[in-house]
Amino acid sequence: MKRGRLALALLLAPGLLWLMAFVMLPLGFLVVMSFWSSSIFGTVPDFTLSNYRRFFDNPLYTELLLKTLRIGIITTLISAVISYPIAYFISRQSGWRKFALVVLLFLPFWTSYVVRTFVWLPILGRNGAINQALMSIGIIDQPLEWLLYNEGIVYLGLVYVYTLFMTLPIYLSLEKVDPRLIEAAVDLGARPLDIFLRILLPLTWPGILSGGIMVFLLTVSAYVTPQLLGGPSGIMFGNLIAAQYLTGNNWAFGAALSVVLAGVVLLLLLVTGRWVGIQQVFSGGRS
Amino acid sequence: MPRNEQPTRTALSGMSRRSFLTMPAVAAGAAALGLPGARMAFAQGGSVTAVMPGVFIPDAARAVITSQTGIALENVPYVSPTDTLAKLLAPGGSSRYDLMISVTEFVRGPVMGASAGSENAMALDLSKIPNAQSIAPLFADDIVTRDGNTYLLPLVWGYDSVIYNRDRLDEDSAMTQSWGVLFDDTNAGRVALRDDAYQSIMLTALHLGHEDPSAIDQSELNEVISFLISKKRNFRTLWTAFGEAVNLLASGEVDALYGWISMRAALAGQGHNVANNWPSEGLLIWTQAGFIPADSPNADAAHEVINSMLSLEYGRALVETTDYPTTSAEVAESFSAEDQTRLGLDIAERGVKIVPMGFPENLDSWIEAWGRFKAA
Repeated sequence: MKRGRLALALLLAPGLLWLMAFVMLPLGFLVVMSFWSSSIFGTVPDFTLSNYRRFFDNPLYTELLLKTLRIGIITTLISAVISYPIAYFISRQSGWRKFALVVLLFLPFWTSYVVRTFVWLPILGRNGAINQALMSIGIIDQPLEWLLYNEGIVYLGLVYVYTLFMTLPIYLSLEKVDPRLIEAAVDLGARPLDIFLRILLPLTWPGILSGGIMVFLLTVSAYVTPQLLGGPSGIMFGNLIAAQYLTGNNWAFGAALSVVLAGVVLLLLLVTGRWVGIQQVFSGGRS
Repeated sequence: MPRNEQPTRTALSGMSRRSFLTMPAVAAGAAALGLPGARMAFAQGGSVTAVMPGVFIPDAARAVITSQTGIALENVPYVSPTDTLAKLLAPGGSSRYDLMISVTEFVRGPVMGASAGSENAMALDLSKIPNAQSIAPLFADDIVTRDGNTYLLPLVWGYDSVIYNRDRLDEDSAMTQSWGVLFDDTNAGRVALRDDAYQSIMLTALHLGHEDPSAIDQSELNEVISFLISKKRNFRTLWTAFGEAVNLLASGEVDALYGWISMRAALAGQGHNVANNWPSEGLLIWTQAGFIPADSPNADAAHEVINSMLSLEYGRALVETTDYPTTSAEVAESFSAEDQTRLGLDIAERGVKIVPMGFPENLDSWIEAWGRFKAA
């Protein structure tokens, strides 16, 4: 019994130490720093609530927080709608074809995030590939300016860069679904929509949730994509945080904004988690 | 102005493979020719870890430093003046780096500290920097001293203006030769600003008639932001990085943008018909000062590098590659009158109103106001 506990402790120790050193300590430091004060001359380790007061006093911050959450939710929903058919299609393949499709899915991720975002500029720009193609075949005679630098393109960019994080967990969930269940449903006369809603969706729900959490978390912390593709209005909460560190040297206020974002996201996950059964993500759908 | 620099190459990878391979050969060649700097180079050598914009060390300019000093200049990635200060003021920061170069007005206060004895840089030994005597009088105010000691020396200077497509905008128009070209409704959707509170608010305040834009108060700042919001639809986008800005003009996405002179050089090098304007409201000029962190372990080598950066050879190599001049008067004088005019090296004589880029005391408010503009 005692040896068993020791073995368990030894097994858990590396992971716990890792979590402590690289997750809990930095997070704790972030929270502590959010009560300090900063100026261009540096950060002073005193205690002040002024950073949080500033957040609540200026509506700019709550407006941008809400905008960021809205973009996060919509991006997650669009990603799910696009990723599910892709994942389903791949899961129905076999042999080299399945392998090739999975490789294709990963292919864009062999380049950097910035490159995957930047690539939309020559495609959607005023003299970009799409405008050139449409003008050369006579569909338009002036470039379409709305193709780039607006919020819609920010969604496109975010969905594109984070698709894999949604598609992969859904694909893995679909892989575990026993095909005989679907065959049985078909034999019993179930329509495709019924099969999807009553068999596939419940069985792959942990995968959808898992992908949804990842895409949502990545989206609400994004700042490169809105900056590159969003035009003059391309700003999310992450851009505000980045500006505190990169331009203003106001680490304390940047830390306070980060703590607020992390707190709101955690709260949102806890509240919606009860409703959508988020515990299934961690229990593999068994609860 | 390269406040937030285009992606720089790092430390050892800061050198191209070719320049790395040729570096010893350059030094050996210089030594064979009997250049005094080269002899000293082989005698001392060593390396200097520098935080500086990568644009100031193109291969040709790096080769000059190497041949004159024999010192390997390892430049860590440069992000911004703010980041430079963060690196300096972080625990151990003053001994981690040997040389820092950043925007003079931005770093002057924090580097010098509030009072004597709190300097975060060491006093420079000017006997080891004889080339400092060549710094042009125009930049005398940017030589930062305290109690008779010199702490920061302006090394490189430049000006920010509107870079525009000469095929699309009339060069002789008064509007083109004004910051107003960025706000003129006839150019709506075809101009771009930089996504940077400091620079964009500075130029807008200057355009609105503020003689010292860095000194505007909160109500004036609000007016500037209201004006920017009223003109928001004019801006196609807000660029964030050097390459993005160059691409905006090169691809025809915009006809004009707030930009740096190195962009003009890059675009001209690609064959684009671009120029920079000479804004009637005032040309924003800046210097980048070099200083040695207080506890630098290689201070002697850092002095040598600073001296080399003020040499005629380094200055010419930098101008010829990037259009950025050094503060050495000798460098400007070494170019023909025609080149001086083309490059803007004669701005002190050509009658352009010069506005030094001062540092706003309430930068936090500027950042917040810029966020308000973007969120509007």
